[in-house]
Amino acid sequence: MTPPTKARLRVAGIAVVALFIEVTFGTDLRIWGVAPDLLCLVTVAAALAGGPEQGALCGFGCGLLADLYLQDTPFGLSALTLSLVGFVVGTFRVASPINSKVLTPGVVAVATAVQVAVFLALAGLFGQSELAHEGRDWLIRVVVIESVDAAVLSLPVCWLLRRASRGSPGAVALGETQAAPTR
Amino acid sequence: MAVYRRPNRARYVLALLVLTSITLVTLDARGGTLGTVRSDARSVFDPITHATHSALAPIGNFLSGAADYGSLKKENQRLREQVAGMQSNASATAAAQAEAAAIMAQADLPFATNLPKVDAQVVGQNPENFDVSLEIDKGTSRGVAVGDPVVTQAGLVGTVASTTANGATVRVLTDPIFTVGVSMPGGVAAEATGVGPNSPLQVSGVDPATPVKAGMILDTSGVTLETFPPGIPVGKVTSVSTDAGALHDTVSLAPLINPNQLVVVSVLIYSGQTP
Repeated sequence: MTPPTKARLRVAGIAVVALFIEVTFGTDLRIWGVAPDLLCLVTVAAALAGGPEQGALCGFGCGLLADLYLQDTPFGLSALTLSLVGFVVGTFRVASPINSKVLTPGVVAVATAVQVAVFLALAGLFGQSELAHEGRDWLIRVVVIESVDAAVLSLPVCWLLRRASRGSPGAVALGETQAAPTR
Repeated sequence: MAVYRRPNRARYVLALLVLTSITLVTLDARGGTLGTVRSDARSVFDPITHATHSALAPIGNFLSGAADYGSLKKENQRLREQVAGMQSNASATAAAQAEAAAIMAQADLPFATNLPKVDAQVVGQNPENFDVSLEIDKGTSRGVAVGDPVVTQAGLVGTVASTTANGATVRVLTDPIFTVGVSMPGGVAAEATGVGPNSPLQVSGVDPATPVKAGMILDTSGVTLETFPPGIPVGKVTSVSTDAGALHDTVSLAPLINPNQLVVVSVLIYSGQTP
């Protein structure tokens, strides 16, 4: 098995574990009624560790997993949202060296807030505008708490994804790890 | 020095993923086989997650307590005083007694008495923030089907949104895509719509002449083609308002149940055509 394949499997494993934690403890982790979005956090961390391609692929996979547990929105909507977010964050990572422990929580928080907004916007485009009917206060609460949750968890999760991404082409290109020796 | 040379490939990958996602959304909207895929996948995951959740409940309770520390501190103080006053030695069996009481309370529903029902335990809640649903431990093997009404003795909880062999997902009545016909005073039917997990249902388009007042309990209308039988309490009227320039009133309807505190519910086996 090649190092890139191993890296992809490790990232996929983390995504599955994140889903498992979310569906098992997500309700218990609610703060003022808002649960954290661990799959979005994993997507953003994967994008920061492996660039736009890994971010988009990881986002797509995480989104499909999330779609399995959603009833109200069309299957594929979360996949679309998270793959876009993963790509954009990865592209941003390539363009600017966000390899700072100080900046990472802020980037993760902003990306999470954008993800909520993009999700609602796309849901509206696909005829699910009811999701925003709860009102501005609820949406602001969701955005703020999800972003704060993501920022708090960002450092360990980003560290985990950096380790898991070792050997992937994106991580090598970003200088996160050395390229695997060719035979 | 490593140089990143693959932006085009990343764009192609993104384009492929976007097209795939849009295709999936379209297929799902057309009512294809994706609903079955969702159901089958959850049949695999659900037993594992339910078992893990039950086994690790103390950790979950600890995390939940940590998240709600402020309110729990006050609640704790109140409960301490209450416990000291009661001097009860039945704490060891309190949880079991509460559950048994909830099951017994479900035995005789004060409405829809002619319909068969399946009592089910609430085993989980959807962790998503824009999708209000509960997980119950009875599914198609016990006759539960998509669209069946879910109730407690207090009133309507929601409707079955999806099923597996041994479980089902219940869309709670506060969900933004939930609608139910309600019977207004004077015999007029109207439609109540969920708005979100922390908001009352909204009944719009109400004739200002309708004698509806705060405090009234509104029941399901059960009119033709309605997916709920008549007579199930839906909620209590909290306010009747008229927007400036509007020709109709809007009624706010607070649910009679708290989805976060449900232990046992009843699924009414109702096809929508059952008398």
